[in-house]
Amino acid sequence: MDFTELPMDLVTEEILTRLPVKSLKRFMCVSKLWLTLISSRYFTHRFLTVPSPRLYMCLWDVNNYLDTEILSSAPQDANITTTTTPSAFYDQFRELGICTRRWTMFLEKGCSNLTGLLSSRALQNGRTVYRWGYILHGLAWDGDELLERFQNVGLLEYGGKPTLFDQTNLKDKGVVALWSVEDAGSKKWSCKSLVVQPSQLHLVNTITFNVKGTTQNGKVLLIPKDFLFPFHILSYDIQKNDMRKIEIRGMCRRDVYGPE
Amino acid sequence: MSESNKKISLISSEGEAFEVSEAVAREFEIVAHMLEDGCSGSSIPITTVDSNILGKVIEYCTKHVEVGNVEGNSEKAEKDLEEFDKRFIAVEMNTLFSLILAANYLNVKGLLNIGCQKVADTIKDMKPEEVRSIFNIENDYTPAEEEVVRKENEWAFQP
Repeated sequence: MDFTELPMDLVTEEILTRLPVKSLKRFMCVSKLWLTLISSRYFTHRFLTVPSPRLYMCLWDVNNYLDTEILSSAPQDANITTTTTPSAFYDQFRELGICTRRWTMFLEKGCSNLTGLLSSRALQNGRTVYRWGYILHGLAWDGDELLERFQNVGLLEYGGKPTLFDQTNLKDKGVVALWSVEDAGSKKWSCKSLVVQPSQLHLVNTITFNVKGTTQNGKVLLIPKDFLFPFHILSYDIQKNDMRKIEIRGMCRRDVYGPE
Repeated sequence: MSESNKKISLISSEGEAFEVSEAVAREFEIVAHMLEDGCSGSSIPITTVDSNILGKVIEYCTKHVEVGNVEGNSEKAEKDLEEFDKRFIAVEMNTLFSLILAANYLNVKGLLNIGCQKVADTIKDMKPEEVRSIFNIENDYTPAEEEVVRKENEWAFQP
């Protein structure tokens, strides 16, 4: 009969790391190689860093469901990671403009969520026209007139600066534009484009995501616009341009989007 | 960019072709990478995996893609999937090892996870002798040497 053998690296990396200490101690008797492996510094280190399921909690304000926080316990950091940035952080930067080709957006007080007020300034026939508008469900409106179609724009803190995360082209082209406030005094903004790695494109090209916030270690959390099952969110490390899928079990719609 | 109804043939080591949808094929990360890298052919040889195992891996991926496409919150679907995984992995050790090898080669993370977890759960309470026979490991201790290691870890042998 054929006997299938697993290569030693698979046994060490994927199987021994899943065993409780008591079993490991007993298996030191299996062979000299296993004794060396189990007692090696490499293995004890590896053993400690295998990701284990985390506990995610979701808190929302019953009066204002937009004021929702997702908390996750991070075993290695031994602290709780929050995903929202206090609106006080944005308040100090309010009324800053951001220029796109066609118009200028201003962050206004209270614009710490996806639905926020902004005013716009567009050049029309050489004259500057100021308008007020707001982003609602991904569209920028000015009274009755549609100003510009955003699939969605999220506001987050990136490198200590308030940053607009424009993912209008994320689903179709895998491109994200990051608009950061560089200098609050002179109202200077910078723009950076991120192109999602080709191998990670499948994570975004069929589902529309919204920005939920950033974690303490600077990863952007994207949550699906519509509830899907099995539920998952994306953690996007914009420094390393690396996207991870996080599956969350036992979720219902209310946990993510607040009471209906 | 990707057409969801595109079909791809995966060819086993015996040369048998398995036709699957692109979504299912993409669950094999190795195939997903090949497609991203511009491999435009519609048949992909999986030379290290035989028909029996390849068929099983495809069954696993198909089920997971199907459930992943269902909209709406259904705890039942999640339970069903867990049940499916449990049944799927309830095979004899040799097949389990072959599935793990294939999942590792094809980079199907979910399957690799449940497979290795199953092995870990199975051996967790075993004696060293039983572990040796499962992994085909030769005992290179002399009885005296083994006794020393056993003594040092005596508590681990108590139930």
